[in-house]
Amino acid sequence: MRLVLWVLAVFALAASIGLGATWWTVANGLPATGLVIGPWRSEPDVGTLSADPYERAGAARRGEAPLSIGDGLAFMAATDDEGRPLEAACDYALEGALPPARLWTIAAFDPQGRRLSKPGEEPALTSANAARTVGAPLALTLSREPAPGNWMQLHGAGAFRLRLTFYDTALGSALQREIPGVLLSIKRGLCR
Amino acid sequence: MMQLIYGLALALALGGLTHVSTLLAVPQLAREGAYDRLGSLSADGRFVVLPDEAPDADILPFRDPAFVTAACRYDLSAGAVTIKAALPGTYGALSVHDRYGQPFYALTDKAAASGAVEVTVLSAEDVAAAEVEDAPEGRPALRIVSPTKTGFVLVRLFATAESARPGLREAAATASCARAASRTLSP
Repeated sequence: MRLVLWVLAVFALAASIGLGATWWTVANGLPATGLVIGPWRSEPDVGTLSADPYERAGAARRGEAPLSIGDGLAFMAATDDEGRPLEAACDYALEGALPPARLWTIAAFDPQGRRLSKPGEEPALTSANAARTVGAPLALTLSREPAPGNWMQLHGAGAFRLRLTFYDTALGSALQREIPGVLLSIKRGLCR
Repeated sequence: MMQLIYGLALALALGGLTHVSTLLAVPQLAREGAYDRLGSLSADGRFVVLPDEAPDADILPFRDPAFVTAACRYDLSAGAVTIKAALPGTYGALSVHDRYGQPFYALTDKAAASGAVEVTVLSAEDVAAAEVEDAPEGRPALRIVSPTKTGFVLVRLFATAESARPGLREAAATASCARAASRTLSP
């Protein structure tokens, strides 16, 4: 009788360890992999045939169609520079230099991957519609209230994610010699 | 005491095995993969432009909203599929994904000949037959082998401004992914 109980307990523990680890890693990804630049995180291998089982499972679970490596590379940010979660009720100032790419876009999503922009608005800031000043770093403002310069409107009050995508870039591939230390810094301003 | 340590070690080992086997099964078991999500668009064998208005704009999560995207689901069980798409020079890309959403081929507008690309997707069994059928003259066809029998193709065109969107939607809708025309050889 004691042996049966012991076997059952071992099996239950094994199932919870195994399934729990699968559930957590599929939802969050492996904590120590990928390309991390400040608050931005990317998994360059997800768009290649050498994607690891964690990346494959995560993409399939989210229902995402990952960008192929020859096409582009996407970075996600869920926190600001100080590690606080991004909140749509706050203002954010993004500043920095971007690595060479043919095109870049930055867009805001809710944690489930739904876009934050409303119909009729510019849905994303891109290299085509952002203004640059000669000799100054790229500066973007995210806020629910209109702001001068490159402004992206936020909606609602919950947590959100930023997705910064470079198209036709050598970043993250075997061709890039040097990974930049910083992409865009994310500084939190006023919270409304 | 010995029995407890032994039990913990056994549970850890079995838990590791469970983790590996369930993780590998996730793409097969995921019910809301990208391929399944595109099923609601009736995009089987033809390109459908994904809507830009909520809630259908978010059929594919984290899709770049600066792009006009068209999708087509293919099925290779009845033969190869030829994809033709016009990719404008402002940035357009064609990517081919397997049943589980994993991309295995991509082209950008830089590879386009006179503004358009043509790719034939075939299953592993059809490769030899397709080579026999290749016409000796002309441009050799671009052929790629799909790791799965079904999958989907995305055509993504960059919209430099909102005013460019209607034209790009029209351009994306003209893309085709029909069954490849096969030539029969005379004996």
